[in-house]
Amino acid sequence: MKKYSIILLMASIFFIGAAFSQVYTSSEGSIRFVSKTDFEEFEAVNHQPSVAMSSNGKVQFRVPVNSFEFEKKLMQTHFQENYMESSKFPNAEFKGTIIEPDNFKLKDGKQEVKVKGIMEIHGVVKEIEATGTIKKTKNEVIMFGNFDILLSDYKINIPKNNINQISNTITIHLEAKLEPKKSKN
Amino acid sequence: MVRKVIIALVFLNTIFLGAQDDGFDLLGDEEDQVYSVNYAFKTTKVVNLQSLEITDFGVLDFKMMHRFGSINNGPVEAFGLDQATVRFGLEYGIVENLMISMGRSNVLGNKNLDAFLKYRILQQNTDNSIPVTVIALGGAQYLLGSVHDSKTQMDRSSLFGQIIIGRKFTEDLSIEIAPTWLTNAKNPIISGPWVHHQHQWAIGIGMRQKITPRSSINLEYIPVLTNKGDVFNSFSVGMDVETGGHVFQFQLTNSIGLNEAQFISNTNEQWNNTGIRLGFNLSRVFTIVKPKL
Repeated sequence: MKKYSIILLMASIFFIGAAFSQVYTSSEGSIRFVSKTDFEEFEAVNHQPSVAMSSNGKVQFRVPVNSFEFEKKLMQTHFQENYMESSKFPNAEFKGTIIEPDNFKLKDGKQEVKVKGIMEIHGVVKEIEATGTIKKTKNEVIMFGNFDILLSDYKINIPKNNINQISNTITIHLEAKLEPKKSKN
Repeated sequence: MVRKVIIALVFLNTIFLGAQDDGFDLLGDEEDQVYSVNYAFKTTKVVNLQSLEITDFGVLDFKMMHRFGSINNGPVEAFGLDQATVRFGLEYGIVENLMISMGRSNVLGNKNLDAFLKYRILQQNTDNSIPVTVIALGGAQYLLGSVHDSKTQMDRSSLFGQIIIGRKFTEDLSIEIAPTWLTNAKNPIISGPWVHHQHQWAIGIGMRQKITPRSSINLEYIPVLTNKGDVFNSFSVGMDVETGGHVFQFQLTNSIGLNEAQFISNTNEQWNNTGIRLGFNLSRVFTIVKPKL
C-alpha cells in the first residue's frame, strides 16, 4: 500500500512538472493585416501585441485595437470608430493549442506548426486555425504566424459603398520575439 | 494520514491539470492600458465653432463652407437660395496636435482672408486622469478690397483667441464650451454703421449627438457677453453625415459669416423672425505625408 502511495506521489509530482511548463512572453512583436480587392490594397500595423507561448504548445496573443496604424489617417479613424468600435471592444485576443506536430514540445531549431484555437475580435468569438513557424534559440523564441479571417464572421459590416475598397477576407501576419517569462517573486 | 494527504495531492493535481487544459491564460491580466479618447466630433467644426478635433499630422483637409441667404428674404429671393456666401479653406496638420488653417470668404460682397492656428494642449484619456480635452485657438481676419481703403490697417483686421474645453461623455455625446476673446473691426456691411475697434468676450457652447454610427445632430450657441451692440447671438442646428472620404455638414443658422470675427461678432439676423438660412460645410481630407508603418 505504501509503495503504491509513493508511485502516486511521484506521478503527481511529475504531472505538476508538466503543468508548470516554461512560459515565454514577447519583448517585441507586430501584427500586420492586409486587405486586398481588385481596386484597392491597404495594410495596417500594430507594434503593441502581447504574445505568449508555453513549451508544451499553448499560444496566446492579445492586441490593443487602438494601436493599429494606417497610412491614411482617415482609414484609421473609420477602422477604430466605425468598423472595430475600439472603445467598446479594446482588445482582440487569440488562445490556441499547437495541434501539429502531435505532442508539441518546444526544442531548439525551427518547427512548422499548426495552431487551433479561439479568436475574439469585435466582441465575437470564433474558432480558427493558423499556420506558422516557431524557431527556438538558446535565449529566445521567434514566432511567425499567418492566417485569414472573414470580417463577416466577426459582425464587421462593410457598407455597400466601400465593398470595392475593403476585402471581406483579411490576411493577418504575426511576428514576435519571445523570451522566458521571469517568475514574479 | 500520509495516504490521505497523497490522495488529496493527486486529486488537486488532477483538478489543476484539468483547469490548464480548458482555459489557460499565459498573459494574465495586464494593467489596463490608458489611451487618448479620440473622435469626439466627425470633423474640425461643430457648425461654425471649432470642435475638439485637430487635423492629423500630414493630413490636408479641404474645407468648403456655403451659406444661403435668409429664409425671410421671401419668394422673390427664392427664400435665400439666390444668395451665396462661400469660404474656401485649407487645413493642415503641421505636427501632432497642431494645425493651421487659411481661408478666403466673401460675405455679402465683403471679401476677406482669414487664418488660424489650433493647438491641442490636453487630450481626454480613458482612465480619466485627464477628464477633458483642452484646445487653444488663435486667429485673424483681414478685410480685402477698395471698399475698405479709408480704414486703417488696424481697422481692417480682427483678432481672436479661444480656449475650447470639452469632453466626449459617451460614444455618441460630446459637449464643449469655448470662452472667446475678440478684438474686432465691426463689419459695416453686415452690422450697419461703422464702429471702431472694440473688444468682446463671448462663450461658445457646442455639442454633438450621434444618431447613427456615421451621422450626428450638432447644436451650437455663441452668446456675446460684452460690447454686444445691436447684433444677435449665433445659434445653429446642424447634421453631420460621413460618407467615405467626405464629411458633409448641413445646417440651419442665423449667421451668414464664415469665420469667428463674422459669426460671433456680426450676426445680424435672428431665429425669431426666420432670419435663418440653410448652409453646408464640406470636408475632404488628403494624406500628404504617409507615416511609416
